[in-house]
Amino acid sequence: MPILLHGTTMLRAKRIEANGPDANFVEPGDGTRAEEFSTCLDAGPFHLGTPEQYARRKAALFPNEGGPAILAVDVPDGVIALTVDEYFPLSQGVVQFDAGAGLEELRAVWSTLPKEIRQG
Amino acid sequence: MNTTSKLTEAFRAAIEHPTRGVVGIVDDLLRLCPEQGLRLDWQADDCLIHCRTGDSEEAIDLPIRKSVFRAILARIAVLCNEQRPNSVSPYGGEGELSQSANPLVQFQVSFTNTPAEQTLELTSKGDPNGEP
Repeated sequence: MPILLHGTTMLRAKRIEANGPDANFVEPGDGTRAEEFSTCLDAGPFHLGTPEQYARRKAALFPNEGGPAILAVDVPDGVIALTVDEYFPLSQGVVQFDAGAGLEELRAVWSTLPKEIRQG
Repeated sequence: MNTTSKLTEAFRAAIEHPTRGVVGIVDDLLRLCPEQGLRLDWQADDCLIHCRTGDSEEAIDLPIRKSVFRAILARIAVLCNEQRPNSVSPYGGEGELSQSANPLVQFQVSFTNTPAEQTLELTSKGDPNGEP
């Protein structure tokens, strides 16, 4: 199973690790639902930026959330395949979970997936 | 069909039928961007492209997913930071980038990429050697 990475803050990484990606998550001061869950293959390529960059920038925006962190999770090929389309070919390293495009299936198996939090 | 309409149709084709994913869409946007500039907004589940040529401006809306629009902006951020490291955040900023097919063609960029707001302003700075 490929390992997918998501750069964020430590607080959010722990929350996602425990409960799965939350499409209804609202960032403090924002007011808009997250709607989706963006990850990248641990092997890259990183055409949209590295998870470390996202983690550092997110931690800078939210300094009370425990610093940068990277959530790593092993996701079955069959679930990843649901995200692949003409916009997000796997060759570009991005695995984008949207409603109707893998997000529900990812949440359904989340509790069974091996995962860890790394320092960002 | 006037020049602006041709351009907006080219943008529509590039975004609705990408052949090289989000990376290719951004390459196409930079290739097609008129000298007078381009603005992209995300509003009410549509990508709105404002395309300026000469005295005219035309807007088209494209029904792409918000995540695709945000990925386009993320790619723009990466290109800005390749040109000048740490010049912008993935979540927004102002920077410069160049066209991959012709690095002499430079662009001024301003963008916001947060859950609540997604916009991009792109202005061609042209080719310093004289090519438009």
